[in-house]
Amino acid sequence: MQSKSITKFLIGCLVIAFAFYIVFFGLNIGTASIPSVKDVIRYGLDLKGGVYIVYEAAKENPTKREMESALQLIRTRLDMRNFYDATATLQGAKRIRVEIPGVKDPDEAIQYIGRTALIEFKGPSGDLIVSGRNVVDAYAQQTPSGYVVALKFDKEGTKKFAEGTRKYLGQNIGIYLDGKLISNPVVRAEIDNGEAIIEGMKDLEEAKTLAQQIKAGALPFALNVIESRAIGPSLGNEALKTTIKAGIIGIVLVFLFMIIFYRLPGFIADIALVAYIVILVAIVGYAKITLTLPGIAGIILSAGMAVDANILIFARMKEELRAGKTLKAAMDAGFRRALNAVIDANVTTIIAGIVLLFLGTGPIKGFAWTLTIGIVVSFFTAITVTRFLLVSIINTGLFKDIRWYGGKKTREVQA
Amino acid sequence: MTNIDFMGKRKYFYILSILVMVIGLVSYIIQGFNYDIDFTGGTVLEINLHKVPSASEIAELERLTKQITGTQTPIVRKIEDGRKIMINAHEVHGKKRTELSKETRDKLFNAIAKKYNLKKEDLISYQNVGAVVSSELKSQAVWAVIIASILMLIYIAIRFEFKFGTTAVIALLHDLLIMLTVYTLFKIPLNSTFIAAMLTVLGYSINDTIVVFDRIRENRRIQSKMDLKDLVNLSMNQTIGRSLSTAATVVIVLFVLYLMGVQSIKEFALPLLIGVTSGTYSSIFIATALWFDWESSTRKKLQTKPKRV
Repeated sequence: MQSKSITKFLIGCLVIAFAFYIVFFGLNIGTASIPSVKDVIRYGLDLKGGVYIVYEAAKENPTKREMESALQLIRTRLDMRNFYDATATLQGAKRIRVEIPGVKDPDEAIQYIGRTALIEFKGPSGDLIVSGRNVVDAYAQQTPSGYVVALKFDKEGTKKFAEGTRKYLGQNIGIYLDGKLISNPVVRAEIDNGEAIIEGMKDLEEAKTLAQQIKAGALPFALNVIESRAIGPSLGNEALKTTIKAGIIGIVLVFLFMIIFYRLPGFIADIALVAYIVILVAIVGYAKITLTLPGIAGIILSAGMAVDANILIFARMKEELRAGKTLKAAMDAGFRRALNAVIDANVTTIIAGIVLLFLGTGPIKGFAWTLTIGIVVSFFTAITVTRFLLVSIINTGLFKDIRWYGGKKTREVQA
Repeated sequence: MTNIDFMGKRKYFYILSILVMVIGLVSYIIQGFNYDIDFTGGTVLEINLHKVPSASEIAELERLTKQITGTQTPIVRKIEDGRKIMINAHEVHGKKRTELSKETRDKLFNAIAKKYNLKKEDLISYQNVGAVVSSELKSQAVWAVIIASILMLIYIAIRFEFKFGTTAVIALLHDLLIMLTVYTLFKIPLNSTFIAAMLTVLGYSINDTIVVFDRIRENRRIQSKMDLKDLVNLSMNQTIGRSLSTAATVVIVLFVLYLMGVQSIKEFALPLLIGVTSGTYSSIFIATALWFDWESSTRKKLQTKPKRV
């Protein structure tokens, strides 16, 4: 019984230590390998530096399909500029959030992606003939008469453009980008097949640029930049280092606090806290949850709160021991009677976390994730890991003096 | 076990809390909040000066910012070890505040760079936030608090009873008001991090209150004949050690974060420190006291009701 309990306790500790090693250092056995969390963790821009830009559709209620095509366009452009690390995501109903790591200047990036501008074809009197939303394709071409931009309209655009060219035969049709005239070709013939050519380009470069601008205008709406932030890479790096350092110091202090005030159970809680950190870091790392600066704060904070469940249990246990119960009975009662408070207290914090998850954006979301997951994990470890280790260590019969459990005077208690 | 008559002294704590809130209200009326860019829209530049600027240098930097950007009240403050500064500025177009254009931003940074002999990379970061984002953030914050409070109230009402839920939520709002008081009083910039901190405090503060309430709920079952005041005092004395322990572990962590953290972490740790302290205080002295007053007044009403035969 006794040696069996010691083995159980040691195996428990070994499993945690082994998991700790795998998560933080990775594992390689033959062909199978588990990468360390360091290598897979996805850092937010605030930790690695870069630029983020939030675009908003300049339209009241864009449809989901319209937003998705806008998103696709932005992604294409990011790829075109070799920003393979960049991400573009829909945020809410009418916003697109673009994150580009490693870039310093948002203005430069905005230029790179290109202002997703509105293209319009207008008659001489300024009346709208057809807008960029009806353009299916635009590309540069070299013809015997020089460089041109070839356009293809969709069905609706073909019809409208045919009407326009009939009406303004021999006159100019202006092509406007964001209200600015970029080309003003003369209509030579009525065009009813939906294929137009803009002539008079100086060189291939000019033709390509115009084609690209028109394609950008193939969006059903313009996109405005409403928010942009740039974080220098050195700042991010420094932030990560100091925060992790602060976290380690904070957690070590909590370790000491628990041992000083709760003795043996406090030590067990510390082992459970290690298990908590391993599980939480593993989830954040392998599930690819973006780790932001507030996210780290969330982890550290929930570590502080993680010991709370154990404190509740141990405080109860101490009371039961004082009332003269045996160790095992005191522990059982401690867990049983603290459970209600632990559940209620955790559920209310999770409620706050989930509200934050739904209403928060950006880094706050990162915080909400780690906090919510942290509380669920801490609840689990406080109940299962602590209990398993505590039962095993009590069963060893090695720690019978009540002082091991925070009692004041030496007194033997029954296991 | 300690034996303190918490309930006997509850009036002093009511007065203390009301006093702090009145101070907060007065401060709010006089100087309002120091809204950060997240709430007002505009541009924040973070610059490494490589030296700690004096007060007159800060004033000079503010003058320079005002001159170049046209911001009426630009804010320049030292951050982290004091060698770095943060500049809060915007441009005004008609009635609208906007972020700085690239030209204005470059002009401002170049002027400062010339003065302090800085390199390009000493502009550590900058952020532009539009006015739309800011106003949404404010309403989001208010909604988050309202929704979270209602959900918590419902949960506690189901698990405990309505009176516990209501007083717990009142204690929560008390903590938020204390946090806001500290913010207006010391003109600490209010930003989006504050929202996260606020909701964390909501979660933490109620967590603490529930532990005390849980004890009252349990003692009420076991010692049903005990006088209400003694019962509440007993429950508080039983849980005070644990409340202080938990507060201590969280405060330790936050304090280290505050001392060592970079600016954005400091901005997060500070409101949490205030909130956690207030949360521990309010769960002991406000939530329980309010519940006690409410419960005893309903009991009196029941007792004074003439019995029908």
